[in-house]
Amino acid sequence: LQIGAGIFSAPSQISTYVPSAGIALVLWFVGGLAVWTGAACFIELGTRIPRNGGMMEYLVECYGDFAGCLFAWVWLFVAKPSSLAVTSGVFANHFVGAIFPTTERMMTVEKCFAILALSSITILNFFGTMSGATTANWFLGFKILATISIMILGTYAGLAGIARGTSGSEWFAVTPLSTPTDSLWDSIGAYVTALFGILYCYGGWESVSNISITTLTGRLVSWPEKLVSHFGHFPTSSMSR
Amino acid sequence: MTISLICFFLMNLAIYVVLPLQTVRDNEAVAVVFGRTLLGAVGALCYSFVVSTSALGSLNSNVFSTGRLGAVAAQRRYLPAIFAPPALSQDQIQRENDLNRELRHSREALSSYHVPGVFISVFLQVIRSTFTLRHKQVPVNAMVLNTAMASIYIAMGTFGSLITFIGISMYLIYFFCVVGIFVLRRRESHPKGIYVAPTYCVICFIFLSAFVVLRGVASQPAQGLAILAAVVVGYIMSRRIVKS
Repeated sequence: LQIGAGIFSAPSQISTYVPSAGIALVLWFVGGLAVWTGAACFIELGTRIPRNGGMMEYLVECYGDFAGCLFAWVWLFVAKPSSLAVTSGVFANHFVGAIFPTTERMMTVEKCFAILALSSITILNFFGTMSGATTANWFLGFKILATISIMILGTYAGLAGIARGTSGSEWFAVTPLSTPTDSLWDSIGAYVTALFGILYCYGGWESVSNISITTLTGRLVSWPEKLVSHFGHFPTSSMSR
Repeated sequence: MTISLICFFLMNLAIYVVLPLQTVRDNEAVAVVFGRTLLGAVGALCYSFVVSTSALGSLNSNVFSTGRLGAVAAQRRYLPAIFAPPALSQDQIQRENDLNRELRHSREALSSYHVPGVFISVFLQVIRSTFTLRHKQVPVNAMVLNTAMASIYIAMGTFGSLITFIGISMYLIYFFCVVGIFVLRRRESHPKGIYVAPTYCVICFIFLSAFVVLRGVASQPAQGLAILAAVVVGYIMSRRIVKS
């Protein structure tokens, strides 16, 4: 179960690298497709290697022991810690922003708060006080509340005519980026950077295979049915950090 | 999962409807600005609270599970043994022996790498004080390692740079996982009761992940080099570990 807050900060990063809001939405769709195909692949891996351990097991099985070691190395020294760093940063940004709503962002203060929060959570976890499904469900509830309230308020604002954002032909009107994107190569580079933000929000899909082991064992169904039934059961929470 | 995809899409649509693109670009705390625009200062405060709380929740569920993964990796001898939970034993003397052996091994390993004496004694003190907790199967050392690494990344990185860093490293791993599907299919074509992903999905994902990794490295060469360095060090380590 992964519950996250990247989705509340990533739209800003994504918008920095796209020329228009319409393209951002197209990229969200592309990212969704990528995650969808990836999940299909990971379900196959999960049923072929039905062992607890996820990617480490897959890589050991496919390429040998050294690949598992390499995975552990990259995952534990690069991918996971930076992921924790981002989440701590999101916390600190919103926390410090709530205390000093009017001032400029204070990066040093935020970083101190981020490290402080992460260390406190780590120490709390030494004693196992905060683990457990109930706590996780509370946090998850908060996140769903935020997401859905933004959807509802946005719809209301759009209908009531108090929205000041993109409308009509502006969806694909170009607002220049801060870094020049003259060539196609540069534009693609900017889109890929934006896509990283989107893929980060969708993170956690690779654990789809862990669930597939328990729910899909031994039953042969045609793949669309399997994907649909499977993805239907897949909790919203597992989808994002 | 489908629900999440739709929710995220609609949420972004709502944000762009309410806020101009430039405003979204300029404010990292988008939800807070969204709340302030529609509901005033109270709205901003509400969203600050909700987002920071859910970030804490995310940290809470990730810190322990990452620690566990570190412990599993150490049990497989991919990481030094001090990250693994010690052998279970109820006997007090046996435990004392285990701890002393661990301390001795660590000291020998560290001095063979010419680590200064001060650091060694601090390190041994940490091992000693976390031994009891590790006995309760709490992956303390692995969690401390994680938090230490994450703190370095917090100090050095920004949201944007870290997102790219994570994207490149994770999709590099996903790429090799999914290429592995072809390795497995060649080995044993289609055993009974197995879900087979459509080949176009597999190929599509392989191309996409390879593309984002390569283009990501091209636009952020320094990050690519850092990940390459991690992979090379990991490879050398893994060769040594697998051999021994």
